Amino acid sequence: MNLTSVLITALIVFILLLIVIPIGFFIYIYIKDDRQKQHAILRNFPVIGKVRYFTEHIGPELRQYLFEGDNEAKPFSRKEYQDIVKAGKYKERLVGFGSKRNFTEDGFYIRNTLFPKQREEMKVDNTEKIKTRVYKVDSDNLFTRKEHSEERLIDPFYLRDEDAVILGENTCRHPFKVRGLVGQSGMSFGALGERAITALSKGLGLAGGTWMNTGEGGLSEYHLEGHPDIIMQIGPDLFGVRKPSGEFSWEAFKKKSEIENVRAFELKLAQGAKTRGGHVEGEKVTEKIAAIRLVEPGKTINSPNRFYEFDDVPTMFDFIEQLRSVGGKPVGIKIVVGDLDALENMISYMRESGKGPDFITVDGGEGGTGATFQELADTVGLPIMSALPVLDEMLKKYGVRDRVKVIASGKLITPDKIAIALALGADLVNIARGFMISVGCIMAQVCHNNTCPVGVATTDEKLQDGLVIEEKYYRVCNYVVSLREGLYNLAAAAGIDSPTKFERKHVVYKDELGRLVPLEDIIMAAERAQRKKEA
Amino acid sequence: MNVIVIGADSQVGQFVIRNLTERGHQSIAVINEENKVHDMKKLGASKIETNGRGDFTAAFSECDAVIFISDSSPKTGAGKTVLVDHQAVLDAVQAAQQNGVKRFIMMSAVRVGEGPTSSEEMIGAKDRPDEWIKEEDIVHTIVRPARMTDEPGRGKVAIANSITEGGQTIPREDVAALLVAVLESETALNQVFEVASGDMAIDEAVQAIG
Repeated sequence: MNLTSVLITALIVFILLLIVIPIGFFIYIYIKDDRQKQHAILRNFPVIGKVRYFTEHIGPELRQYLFEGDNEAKPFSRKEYQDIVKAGKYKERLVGFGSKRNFTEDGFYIRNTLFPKQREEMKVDNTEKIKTRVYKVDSDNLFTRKEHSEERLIDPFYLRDEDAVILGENTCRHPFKVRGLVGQSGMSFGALGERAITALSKGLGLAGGTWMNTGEGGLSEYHLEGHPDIIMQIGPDLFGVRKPSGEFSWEAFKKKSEIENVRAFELKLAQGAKTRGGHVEGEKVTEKIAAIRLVEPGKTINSPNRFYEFDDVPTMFDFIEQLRSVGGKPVGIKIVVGDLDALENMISYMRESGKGPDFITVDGGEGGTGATFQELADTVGLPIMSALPVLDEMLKKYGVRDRVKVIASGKLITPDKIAIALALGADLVNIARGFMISVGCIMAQVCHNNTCPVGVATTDEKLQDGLVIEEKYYRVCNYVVSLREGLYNLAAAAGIDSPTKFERKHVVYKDELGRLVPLEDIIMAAERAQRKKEA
Repeated sequence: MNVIVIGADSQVGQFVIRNLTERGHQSIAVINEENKVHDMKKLGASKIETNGRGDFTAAFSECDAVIFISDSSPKTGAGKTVLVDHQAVLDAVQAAQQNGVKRFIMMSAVRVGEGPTSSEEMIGAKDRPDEWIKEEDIVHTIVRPARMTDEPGRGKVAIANSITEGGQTIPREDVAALLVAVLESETALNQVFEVASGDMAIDEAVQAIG
């Protein structure tokens, strides 16, 4: 055979392969689809029916990037996501041309004054500067974006000492004084990987005037890495403060309370998306996580729905008293407002007994979580903007408002939303998902699967490789400082010299017909509904 | 040393007060806005005077030196900056002379020779006060920084009679450190120079002047 015939044979074989293999593969899939019993659509329309599953699979990404409007997606829209990312990456909150908010919808608005405060009239403490890094865009083309990060000295926008918020001012040996209004909500090591927790810790530590809530998964070395102020959360499972047998360990608690950076404790009765106990698969309970949580490695954990240590208000308050006297640090509770009777019962007992928590963290029903059940996430508990004024009003009614600080949470990720929460009765605000986004979360919504593609909500080492702590922690710092700066902007517009002075009168609710509803009416509406329920 | 800092509530001014405190000097902070008293106290100023609230020329008598930071006051408004600033420099020089203050250090601006392109431009006619100071009988140092940035201080600068290259910058923190270093040095007496970020440590660069 000469070279030509060899080549011709090779060509024929090649063409045959090109045709025969795909046809063979098609027939194989066709038969397989036709014979399977699981999917009706594939039995009736073999192969072509797969288009449905393929597009369904990539739908969320396509919607997020291409088809969904900037204001549409849930839990956070593209725009809300970008607001966080830009604040963290570029320390930039400027928008061009105008707002994308739908002004015909109902919602809260901040009432501006005729004569705003001047910048130099604001009660802010910018005497210490923060050394951070921000990105600058060099050129932005269709397929390439060139940017570099540079060092920057920024104003921290701390509250002045006289405006600082103090938890447990008159009740404990070590009150917690915080010079900023925004902190990180509970996120456990285990739900988030060590790299994400470390980046958050370092960023919050750098920013100062903020705090980090450990979540119920115990206090890890990663939380302490950047020396931030820490609020240690204790859930019904008592992670980190339990005996091997499962009871509360006063010894372990004392040890935790002796760590200087631990500034306060929070008993988690409920959270917005999870108004009962959590669940951790045995495979996620690694040696390390077991050591931090003081549980057995490899064993599935089903947390109790409530604490075994107490089951009514008096026993809870006694437990709080004991925690406070042993630890010497403020103790709060985290709740979701639902049953107003039970809430009123607790608050009236606060007045009666003179006891109670130093702070109440109230999570809105819209609050997030790593993993929960749909029915709990969607419908249980009041949203934050309804819960807050009710709680605030009740505390005032029983004359205990000055004894307790209110921390609010539930999608309060931008300065305007935080300011509204402050006006509605919050003293401080917690953010979780906003901070996740600042360390790289792209809202893939797989937190419950340990497959987070950006290495934030996963303990998988390979996936965590993508998250560079040294790059991300500056974004955490920039984000929280941006929020504080934004709060001062809003305060100036409202005619007050500090965001601590936001009151109900600074906010108004506009309904879909353009009518303005004072907040008092909204609060009364909740009470009216409660009375109706009783009747 | 006892130093009176005029324009202490400007961004550079705050760094100057902090620097003076760190290096063991006493400072009298002259500010434009009452609200900034808090900041000055925190930064370590031993006495605080507010512009427009009574006559503070008496404070000069306790001082060994003046650091004057030209910064537009937000109250002056467009177009007025030049007038007010100039008068303030003259007042300060006069008060210093009357009270026997030995040193007058002034932060001016680079490219002072450039005229204003509009009446609102803050840098306009900055050379005029410089000239007046030179004519007055007072030991002076005039520092003309390049474009100032919010970058953290590098601690390294280049000092020259005239910076010819365009686009030079210097962090505000370094300008403040330089103003305080000048205060402690003999070499900078009766000198006018420009400064930008460079390769020499600030103290070293100041020693090398002249």
